[in-house]
Amino acid sequence: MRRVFGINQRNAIIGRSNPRRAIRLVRDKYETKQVLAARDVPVPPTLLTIRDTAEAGRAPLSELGESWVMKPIRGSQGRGVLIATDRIEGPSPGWLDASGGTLDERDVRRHAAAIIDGEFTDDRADAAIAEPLLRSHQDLAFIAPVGLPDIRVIVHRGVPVMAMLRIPTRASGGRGNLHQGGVGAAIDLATGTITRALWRRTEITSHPETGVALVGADVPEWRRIVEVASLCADATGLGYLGADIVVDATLGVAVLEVNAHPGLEIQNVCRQGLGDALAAADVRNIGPGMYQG
Amino acid sequence: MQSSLLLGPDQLVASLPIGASLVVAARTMLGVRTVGVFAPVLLSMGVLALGFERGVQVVVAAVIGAAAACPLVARLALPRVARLGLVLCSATGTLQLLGLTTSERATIPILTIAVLAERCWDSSAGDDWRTGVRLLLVTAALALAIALVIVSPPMADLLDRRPGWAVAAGAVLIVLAGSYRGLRLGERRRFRGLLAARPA
Repeated sequence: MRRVFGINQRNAIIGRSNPRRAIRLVRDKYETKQVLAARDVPVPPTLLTIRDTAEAGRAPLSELGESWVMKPIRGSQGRGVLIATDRIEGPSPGWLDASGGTLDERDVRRHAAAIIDGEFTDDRADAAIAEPLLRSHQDLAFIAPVGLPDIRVIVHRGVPVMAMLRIPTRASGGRGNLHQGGVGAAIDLATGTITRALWRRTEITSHPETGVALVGADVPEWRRIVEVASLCADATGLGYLGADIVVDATLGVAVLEVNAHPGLEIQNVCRQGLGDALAAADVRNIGPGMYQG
Repeated sequence: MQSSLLLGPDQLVASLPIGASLVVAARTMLGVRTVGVFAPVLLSMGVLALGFERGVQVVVAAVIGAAAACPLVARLALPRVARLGLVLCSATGTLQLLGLTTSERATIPILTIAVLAERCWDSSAGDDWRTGVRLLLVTAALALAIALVIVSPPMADLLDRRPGWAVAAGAVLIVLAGSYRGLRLGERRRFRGLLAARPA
């Protein structure tokens, strides 16, 4: 019988492995970035933080630049994310949003105020953070032309045990969430090669919208991705985590988020139970050095 | 079944741990997702405070009233707190229209439904209103199941004669259900392909 983790088993592992202070830390994206950066873990730069409604009214939005993302510091599941893809000059300056609509400064300030009011975090007071809009590395953009694909790496006791590439599609509205129509692609930990792909619970070998081959494709900067995923454990103090990592065209490898309660769908994508993966890692007694070739 | 029985205050309080243990079992073994963690227990207390039959009428009417408002309210450009207020108006308005607010005990389920509506909005935020409605209906169904267990003759008898034992039994059941580490029912379906595959 395969050792497949359900939520009960995952929560038991989390209870043993993740201290409360570490869980609290990673709920705050800004604090997490500070901690990661202090340990030389690459993270996207912060353009602006807005912590109260007065600040939302006077924040220097000109510092946001051409393209950026604004999101709640304690948000999850993509809630409250505002994306500006390009600057608009002229009599009504502003930005183009992800759907092609326009945003002026008033819209942005209103969105920041809504984040601060807890509109996207169940009424809990929050703060807004703005970062540059990341663009995918050309090798990833070739196999995942829509949105920003990210790599989820499950790390246990500092050792990466399972990884998948989440590929947004037009059907998923440019989001990588698998239940919304994103593609999940299993990655071989040792080589960074895609070995299997799943879309809407069906096994596929090529991108469902472009036909580009997925199985056999290599994820760029793989050694660095694995190394960075391992570093997240040490930096945050989490014994069991899911690191969400992107490969940006300019920045290179960067950690988007660290999850203390990573989801379980990765097991279906990789066709492997997390119990088996954790046991295999323990048996091999491997460490991050294994992946550095 | 003592379906029209009004539980006394002692029995009502003693039934709380039993209700909580059923919620824990539903969550850890079946994977039933509800609005709030113990909202189904609160709702079942509301049902039992009114008497089972009247309680079911009140809860079903209020939940339908709240659920019916969700699609319309979701379209309004109002802040979250105002949208939530309108859901509550719809639930209480439905009860008034149906003449279900005559008993002084009706305030208990109404207050519970107010809490429920708020948590429903929290739980479904980010999803569409259909998720909220589904959660609300699942919560109401679990609440009614809990109320049914509590008014069943053996349980009603235990609550009546030995309320302390009912509390202890609830605690034991909670520990047992909370210690379950296996797959939930929904997860067996979710991972069926993986479970059926031969180990590598």
